Amino acid sequence: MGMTRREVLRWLVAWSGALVTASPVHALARLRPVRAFTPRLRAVQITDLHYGYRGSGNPDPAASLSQALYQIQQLNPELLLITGDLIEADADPRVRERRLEDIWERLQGLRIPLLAVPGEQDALMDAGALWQRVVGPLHFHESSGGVHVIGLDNVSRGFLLGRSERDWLAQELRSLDEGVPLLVAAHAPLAWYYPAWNWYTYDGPAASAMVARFPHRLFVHGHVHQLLTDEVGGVKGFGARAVSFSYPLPDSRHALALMPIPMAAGAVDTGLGLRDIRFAGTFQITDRPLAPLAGSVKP
Amino acid sequence: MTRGGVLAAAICLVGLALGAKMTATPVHARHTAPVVTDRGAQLYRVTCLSCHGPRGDGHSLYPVPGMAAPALSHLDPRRWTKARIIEVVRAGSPPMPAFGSVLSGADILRLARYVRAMERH
Repeated sequence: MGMTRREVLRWLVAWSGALVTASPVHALARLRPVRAFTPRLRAVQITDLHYGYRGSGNPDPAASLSQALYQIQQLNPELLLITGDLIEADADPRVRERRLEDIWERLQGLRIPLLAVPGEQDALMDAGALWQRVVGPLHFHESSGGVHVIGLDNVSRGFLLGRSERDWLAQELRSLDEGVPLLVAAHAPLAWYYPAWNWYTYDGPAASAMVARFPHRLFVHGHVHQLLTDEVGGVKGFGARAVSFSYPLPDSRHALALMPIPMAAGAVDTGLGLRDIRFAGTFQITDRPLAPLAGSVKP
Repeated sequence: MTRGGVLAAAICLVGLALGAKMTATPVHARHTAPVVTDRGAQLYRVTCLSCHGPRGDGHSLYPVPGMAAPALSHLDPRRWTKARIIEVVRAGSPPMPAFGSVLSGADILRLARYVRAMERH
């Protein structure tokens, strides 16, 4: 009895499937109890390093930076998340470039996986061109320990996300099961906390609405240089202390220019700090003040 | 009660009533904050004021080193036509943000009208 070529192929495909199904490896894979993967993350967030800053807000910003880097080493996180303003802006693009290259090199020297979103000091002057050259993409979606980390750029074209980034975010989130833990980071708050100081994201409420469907979510930001909690669309935002200098709270009755709070030389309570972020079933954040540098260990 | 007692009680009651009235409407609470109804002004407050200043004179409330926003109150109207203002608000010119992806065309027009109105003050 002769078989056509098509029948032979169908016969081969059918029997190869049966053989694979019956193979011991395949059976083991099916019978072995499935150990559920539990997302876990130990991260540290630092923000607003303002590398190159000189002013009354911090008489010794280099010492504060060294303190922060030392504390990060002690905490030994799996991920270092940096929420913008790595540098202090300058009119001269060469100065900005040198500062960003220097600080990025120091951070890479920690030998901890880094994820960073830009601040307006890093990216507003040139719409993020320098950032992309030195650091990488302006916004991103990465996974760390099973936690999905979304980095938003709400500064490089002004304090907004814009249509294309909103569309990108919607597409990324659509692909995720809503049970996954989601850590969202940006420089500026998504809420309209105080637009007169650019403490807002124009289309932040639209982004919040997309994030709100994830029960395990955490949104962290910088820019405000102090511990602040804001909320829009049911999504809380947690502003963090800076590594460089601190800002006062806005007073909506008086439209005053934003200035750093002056810091006395040798101040113990500097208003600076970093944040420990953990996920083990739920997100937990612990804000830590910058501690005095122990010993002379400098990364 | 004697006539003097009645009088004293009446004075007390009037005093209490006046006191209650004063407590209910303290002087400082009678002033209400001005409500900005002009859409152009509302948009200016949110999107422009931080860098161009509350009066549009370039006195920024959010100073960034090396970045100075121009004084909108002193734009040369021959060079800064409404069409040009609309285009800059829409497309931006770093570090001036591009608001075209978050503001509607009608809102950009309202904002441009408000900025043009600032020039005359």
